[in-house]
Amino acid sequence: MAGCRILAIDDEVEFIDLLINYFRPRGYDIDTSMRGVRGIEMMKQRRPDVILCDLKMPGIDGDEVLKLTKTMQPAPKLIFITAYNDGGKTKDRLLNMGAYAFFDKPITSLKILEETVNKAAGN
Amino acid sequence: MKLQWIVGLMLQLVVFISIGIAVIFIIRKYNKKQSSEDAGEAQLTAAQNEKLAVIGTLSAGINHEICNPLGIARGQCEAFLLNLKDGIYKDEDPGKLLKKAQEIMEKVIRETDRAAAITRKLSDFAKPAKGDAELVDVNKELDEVLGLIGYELRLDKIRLEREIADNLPQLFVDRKQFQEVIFNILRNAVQAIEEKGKISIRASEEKGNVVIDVQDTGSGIDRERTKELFSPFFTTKRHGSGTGLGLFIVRQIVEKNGGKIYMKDTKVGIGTTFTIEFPAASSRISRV
Repeated sequence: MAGCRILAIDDEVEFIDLLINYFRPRGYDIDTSMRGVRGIEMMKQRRPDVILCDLKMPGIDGDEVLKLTKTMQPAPKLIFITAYNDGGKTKDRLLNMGAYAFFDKPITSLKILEETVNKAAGN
Repeated sequence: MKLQWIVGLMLQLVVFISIGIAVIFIIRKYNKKQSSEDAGEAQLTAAQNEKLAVIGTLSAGINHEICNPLGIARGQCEAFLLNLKDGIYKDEDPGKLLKKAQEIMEKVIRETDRAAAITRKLSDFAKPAKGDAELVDVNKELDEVLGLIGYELRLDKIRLEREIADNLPQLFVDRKQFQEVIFNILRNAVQAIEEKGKISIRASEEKGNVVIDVQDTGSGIDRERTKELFSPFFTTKRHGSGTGLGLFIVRQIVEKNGGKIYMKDTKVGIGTTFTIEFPAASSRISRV
């Protein structure tokens, strides 16, 4: 959904670069932050429709980002993209807490990620 | 005649006893050498098994270090191809598009090189040490070890502080065994930290020795249990996450390389500091 506002928070510059290369030419308004704390400031300022967020970053973790999105009106949809794998425990917990979707790194299909972003923004 | 016979008999007895003593001496010496060789062999095998067990526990981090760059390389290609297929670049100047493709290829090369580097490090680390001493640069070897364990630290939200003195003298040790020692001590530090924490590595020169401190902000060790730290099968880790051979083997390796290791400080709930000391290469080589 071109025009949809995305905020990507991930401390891995190469991954941020990949998201920009895919979403920006397709007309998405994508902001990025490589630092969790800065990402939270941008969340409040830019009011994104969808947040693509790593789970474990220095200074902040997924739970904190999720709790914060719940306090915002309208609440942005949060999609976690992470390499962290504890057998699905964290994934289930965060989805139960209201995360919109959970993707494992490495991403195996950008198309599916885009479709999920579009669904999230349309909801 | 009788006297001659008695002297002859005594001489024969002396010869027999001498031969007997010599044989016993040779057999004992051989057995001693054999058992020391057996002990050395057993030590090497135990160290190798421990190392492989360690690699197993790091598999998540290592898997990420290999899969992630490959995933990014793949994703960059996929993004370009999908954008091309979906007509995103249809109005793009061919020169610009070629430049874009060139950039993607450069990124793919960079990421695949990154993945290849970790596999090289891993296979180098997994090879058994030969026990051959060589000149070793502490900083360089720390880089190698942190290349293997670094992602585990980030994943566990552990901050790493590194304070290595400039112009640190080289060591004369088995390079791989030195890596194993640092690796094991760092891994113990990681496992001692349950939530967020910090590990500090400091290295300095003191009286001709290179002194390396590894300090963690982990759970610490009960004073009463510190005496057993370097004993085989002693572990403070929860059941199933430690073999208890780590520090026992680490100390053997350190001592074999002319160094010493001790626990400098520990407080329950505050953390632990281990210190490893090796003589600088110049003093060790001159002694050899």
